[in-house]
Parts: sequence; C-alpha cells; structure tokens
Amino acid sequence: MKNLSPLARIGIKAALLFALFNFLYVLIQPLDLLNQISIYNWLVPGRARLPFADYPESSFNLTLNSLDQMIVSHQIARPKAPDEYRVAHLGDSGVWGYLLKPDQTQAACLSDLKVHTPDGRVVRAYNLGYPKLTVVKDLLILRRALRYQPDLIIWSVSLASLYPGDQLDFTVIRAHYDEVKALIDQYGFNFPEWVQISPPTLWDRSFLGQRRAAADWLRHQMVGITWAATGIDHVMPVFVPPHPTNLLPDDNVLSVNPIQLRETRRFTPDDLALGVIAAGVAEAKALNVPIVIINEPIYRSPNHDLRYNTYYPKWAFDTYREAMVEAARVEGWFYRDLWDAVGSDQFTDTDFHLRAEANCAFAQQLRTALQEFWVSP
Amino acid sequence: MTLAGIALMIGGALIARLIPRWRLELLWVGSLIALFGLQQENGLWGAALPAFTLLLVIGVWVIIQKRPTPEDRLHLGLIIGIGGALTVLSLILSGQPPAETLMVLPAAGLVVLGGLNVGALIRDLPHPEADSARKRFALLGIVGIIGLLAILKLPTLQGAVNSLVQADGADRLIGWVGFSYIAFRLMHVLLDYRIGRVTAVSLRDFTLYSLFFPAIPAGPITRLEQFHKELQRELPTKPLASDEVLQGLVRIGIGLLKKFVLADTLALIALTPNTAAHSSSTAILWLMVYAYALQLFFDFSGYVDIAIGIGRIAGITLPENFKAPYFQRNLTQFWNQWHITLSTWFRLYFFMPFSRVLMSTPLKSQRALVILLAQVATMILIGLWHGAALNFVLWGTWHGVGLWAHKQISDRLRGWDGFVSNRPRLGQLITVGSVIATFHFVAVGWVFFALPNLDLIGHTLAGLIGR
Repeated sequence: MKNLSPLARIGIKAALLFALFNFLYVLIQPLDLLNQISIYNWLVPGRARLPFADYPESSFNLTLNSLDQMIVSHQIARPKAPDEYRVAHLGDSGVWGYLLKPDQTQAACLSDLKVHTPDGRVVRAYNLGYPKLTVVKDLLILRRALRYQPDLIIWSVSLASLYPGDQLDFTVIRAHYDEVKALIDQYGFNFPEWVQISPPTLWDRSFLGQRRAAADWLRHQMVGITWAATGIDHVMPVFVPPHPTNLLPDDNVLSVNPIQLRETRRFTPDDLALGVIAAGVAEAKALNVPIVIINEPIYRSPNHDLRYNTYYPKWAFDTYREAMVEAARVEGWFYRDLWDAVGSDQFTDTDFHLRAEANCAFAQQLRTALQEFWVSP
Repeated sequence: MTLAGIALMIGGALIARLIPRWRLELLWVGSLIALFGLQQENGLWGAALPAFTLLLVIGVWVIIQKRPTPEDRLHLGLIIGIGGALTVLSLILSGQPPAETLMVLPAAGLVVLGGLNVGALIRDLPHPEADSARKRFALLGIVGIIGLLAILKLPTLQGAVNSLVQADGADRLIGWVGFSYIAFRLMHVLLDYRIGRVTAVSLRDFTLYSLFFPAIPAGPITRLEQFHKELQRELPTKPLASDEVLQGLVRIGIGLLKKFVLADTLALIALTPNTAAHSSSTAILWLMVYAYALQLFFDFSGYVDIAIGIGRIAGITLPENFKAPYFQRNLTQFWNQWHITLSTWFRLYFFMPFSRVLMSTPLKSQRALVILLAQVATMILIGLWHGAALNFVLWGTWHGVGLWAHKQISDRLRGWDGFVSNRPRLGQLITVGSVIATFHFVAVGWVFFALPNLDLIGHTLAGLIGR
C-alpha cells in the first residue's frame, strides 16, 4: 500500500468503503423504512389519489414503485375523524380518474354526496385506484389500506383485471416480489407468469440497484411542494382522442387461454383470478372490514353484433358476468353488477374512462349499493 | 452533458495526461471530436454547425497569426481532414437519408485525402503586414460573430435561417451547443487584436483554446494569454502521483453532486412558468424562488466544477467562474463572483469603452447618469446573451439599476465606515443584513429570468408580496 500513488490509495479506500456501505445497505434495506416516511399529510396535504404520472414534470407527480410510499402520501394516511365512515375505493384507471381532476373521481363524487350511515357517520371515500388492470395490485393496495381503519372497501373490477395471465407483468408488482410470493404461497394463486419472474438479486437489494427508487423517494417529496401549490397531479391533454368506434369484426378476446376458451366459449370462475378477490375479502374480514365488489361500467357499442367494445367480445363479457354472480353467491360476497349503469356516450378515450359528470352520476349508484349493503350486508 | 459524456471527457483527459509527449495533440484531437459529439442537433445542422465553428476558429486565427509555421500548416491540414471525417460521420450517425450521405461521401473523402496537402496552401494565404487591413478583417469578424449570436438568440431570425435548410425549419429552434462561449472567446481575441494586445499562438494552441472540450458546453470564457500560459506550463513527470489529478477528480465529484443531485432535485420545486401560473401562496412562491436561485447556482457552477476538474486532470487550469456569489455583501460584489468570466468580459469590452464614449459626450457633467446608462446597457447585454427576449431585458435592467443604486448609496454612506468599524457587533450585523438583502435582490431578479412573459412576472411579483 505504501508504494502506491496517493490516487491509487484513495481509489482503493473509496472502493472498499463503498463496498462496505453496499453490504450494510443489503442487510439493513433502509429504503423499506424510508418508504414509511413522507412529507405528505405533514408538511403538505395528503394526495387525493395514488401517485402516477405520464408526464412527471408538468403534472407535479411521478410514478413510484413503492406501494408503501404511495399510501403514506395519500389522504387516507391522515387521522380518521370521529364522525367519518371511511371508504377505500380500489380499482383501475377508471377509479383513479384518468383524464379527470382529483375532485372529479368517483371517490370524490361519493364524498361530495355526504351520505350518512345508519349510525349517523358521514361517508368519506378515498380514491385508491391505480391505472393498471390487475387485481393483484388491488390486493396489495388493500393490505395497506387496512392499516388506516377503513370501515368499508369498494372494489371495482372488470373482466380484464381478472385474467390470471395478466396479473404480474407490472413494475410495481415486481417491486413487491417477496410479498406477492408470500401471498401465492398462502392462498395458492395460479398465475402462469409467476415462473418467468425472477426474485430480486443481491444487486437489486444494493444501494446501486435501488438508486432509482431512492431518488424517486426524494423526488416524490420534492414535487409534493409544487403539487400542494398548484393542485395539479395529472396533465389534461388539450385534445382527447375520441372513443374508438371502429371495432374489429371478430369476437376474439386477448390474454386468456385462447384455445380452451375458443372451444368452450365460456368463462367460468376457474378461468378468472377470483382467488385474489377471495384473499382480499378474507384479509379484510379478519379486521371486520366488509367489501362491496362492483363490476364497473364499460362502453357498449350500439351497433356491433359481436363485441361490446375494443376489450370485450359479447360472449366473453356475458359469461364473465355470469361467473361473477356465481362466485359471489358461492363465496357470500356483496356484489353489484353495474356494467351498464352509464350510457355509452359518457365514455372518454377508453372503454373504462368516464366523463366527469358521468362519474358523479355513477357515484350515486355506489351510494345506492352502500345503502343496500347497510340494510342487508 | 450526460454522465456518459462526462465519463468520456474524464477518460480523454486522463489518457492525454498519461502520455505527456502527445498530451496537447491528444487534447486537441479530443476537442475536435467533442465539438461534433456534443451537438444535440440531428441531420444537416448536427454536422454543419461544428464544421462551421471550425471554419470560424480557423478564420479568426488567420486574422491574428503572424506567419504560419510548417507545424501550423500540418495542423490546418489535420483540422480539415479530421473535421471532414467527423462531418461525414455526423451525417451518417444522425440518420441522414442514404442517398444524401452517399452524395456527400465522395466529396468528403476527397477532403479527407487531400486534407494533409491543403496545409501547403496556407503559404499563399494573404497575411498582410498592414495592420489596418487586418483590423478591418477583425472588425468584420466581430460583426459576423455578433450576427451569428443574434441569429442564435432570436427565434424569428433563427426560424428564417432554418427554413432555408429544412422544410419545417421555421418552427424549430437550432441548438448550437457551446457557441455562446466560443463566440465570446473569439471576440475577445479579435477585440484584443484590434488594440494590439493579442498573443500570437500556433493554430493548434488557438484551436485548443477556442474549443477545449470540457469548456465547450458551459464555459468558462477563458482568456487566450492565460490559456496559452497553461499550455506551456511544465507538468510533473508522474501524472498519477500528482495532486493535480486527485484535485481534478474531487472537483468533478463536487460538480456532479451539485449538478445531478442538488440542482436536479431543486428543479422539482423551482420557479417555472407552470408552477408560477398555478401558485398563489406567498410562502410557496418564495420557496420556489429560493429553489430556483439555488438550482441555477448549483447547475451552472456544477458544470463549471466539472470543466475545471477535467481541465486539472488534463493539466490545464481553467479560471474560476463562481466564488460564493450568494454570500456577498452587495450587488457589485455579487457580480464580481457570479459568472466571473462573462462579467469580466463585458466589463472589459463593453462597460469600460462605453463609459469612456459617454464621458466624451456632453453627458460627462452628469457622472451618475453616465454610470446608470453604462450599467444598465451592460446588464441588458448580459441578459440578451442568455436569450433575446423581453424578460432578459427586464432582468438586465433590474441588475443595472441595482448596481447603480448600490454605487450611489455606498458613495453617500462612506462617511459611516469609521463609525461602523469601531463597533464590531454592528459591523457583523450589517454584514449579515447586507448578505441577506443582496441575496433577496438577486433572487427576486431571477423571477424576470425564469418567466417568459409579463403577466406571469407580474402575477409572481405580486404573489411574493402577498397580493
């Protein structure tokens, strides 16, 4: 060492220190702790919906991979008011409110209705939707929502969120590999993709491997200030492409076992990831939190014989609805099929995204579902 | 500059340093390559802008050179050869249509092959002994460079020029990376030449001075005589054992931290047209202004730290550009420590001559007015150097008037110096207060700098005072 130049000595010492730091980092995993901490609900208000951004710079928002950090920066993480009946609303981009402002989402509209429970509490709904069609993601969010004393959970699903083969190909879910693995082991989910997903390596657990996640944590706190100042969390495009009306002249459905389905032309409960919903219901039930399951509204083409929309051929969606009713009956779920509760002229760019007014009108249907649940859970 | 680009530059500087015999030649070739590699434009402009920059540098050297040596002729040939090859490479890499590239290739190939022989032609280049003729060329060069800067900074002019080349050119702005700095180096040389102060240097050294690769993207604006002295400096024989390389690496580390951690993080909450338009809280607006002030400092000084660090590794000391500017007691001191090489340039080549001109007019009896006009005009020009827009004029005016006001106030308060110096506590209190006041004056000035239109500026300034 003495014969080395100062530069080489410093280089070797720096490399050794850095290696030691990374070793300790792998052991301690400080990001897990850091992701429980947030300036939201403390220095700045909590967010009305989970962080997600197509255009981070202009929307004062960014897409995170840590669900823990997402939930602690959400309004639901603040203390519950004494007269509050806390409702957590899970679902996809339709629930999150893509192309809508935070105060135009279904949860916001439901809160605005100021619904009173039979015991006099006021319903306060929290938007925990996230723009991805997978119920595993909903289950992970549900498990975190349960930390914040919800009185009830509304879980909006659709056929596309229940394809077993499409549950895991999503960065946020891959970032929670250990938790998903534990759930699969506990509940015996059968996801064909699971074998293709690799567990996190030593590199993934090191500081170098997690540098992006660490930077995202910091960025998320910083944009909290500009978000609080502007109230903007989603960039509205000047032009929204019209809803596609030229549907393909076929009745194919993507993403599910096509050979088997082509033969049977029927969805059964076994063809859907209903075990995930059952797991969510069980976890919530353990804490005495009931779940209302909603089959969310979809666009229905008025002039196509084979398809309802770009996602669903009629045979697939109709048999899915039957399968959901059957599963709800067998499992004892409180289930409402609101697939046609919104007129087809009330959709924006996709088969699930509603206009602001339609969202608030749909919130009244959610209120009805809640009132029915209170009468007959 | 990306991290990969910085890593390449560090590698280039280290390689050059490890081969002392060829150090300057390697740095010179590296600078030529960097000139092309750093351009962000694609297509024709991506190749044309650096090629044109090279021609401009050669042109200025031709004006100031005494008599070319065989070495100069060799380097001229090499520049043409390497520049030609890099131009062709830029065209190919930027995905120009194959037909166009194929058309360019034979011509460029001839240039590459003939490049070494072209140097011989320089013997016949005119290098008139008559200074007056050269000075006219120098003046022409200065006017030409100012014209190019005007095209670069004025979107309308740029669109007009661009539309001559590209079908959708009028709507696109051209990014000529580093030209603002290269232009000011060349103008300094031409202006000094006109007053007989320029150092005659070889073509290689002059090209290296104009295009030294770490200083292309964000300066500093070095002076030829200083840079030339650096090139002639004796370096330790064992480069890796020297403190200089270590100091360079540390400086680069500081620069990376400033630029990629501090500045990029502060950018998330800094004042922008978007945040200003949607914010009305006084506290948040102040926070955004502070964040912008710090972001600007860390971003710019971070780049300069990286450039200085790479320069140190290469064995060339570049001048400092920022010396704790936000800890200065008054605006004059701030401008002595903020973007030092640019403000020195304007002081030497505009403020002083312009003040002399004004003092030779009937205005000379009104000294305060002369200073006001010279300060405001200088600061407006510094503003326009950043971009030809009204907000930069306002920013320049804000600082020009501020500098003038500081001069007037400090002249009137000079009598109090003795009183304060006998009371150290009071002196400390005044120092702290002055630093805070100066920082806030500069920070509010950044509102003009950051926001492009008057409505937003008005909205933000009103928000800052709670209205």
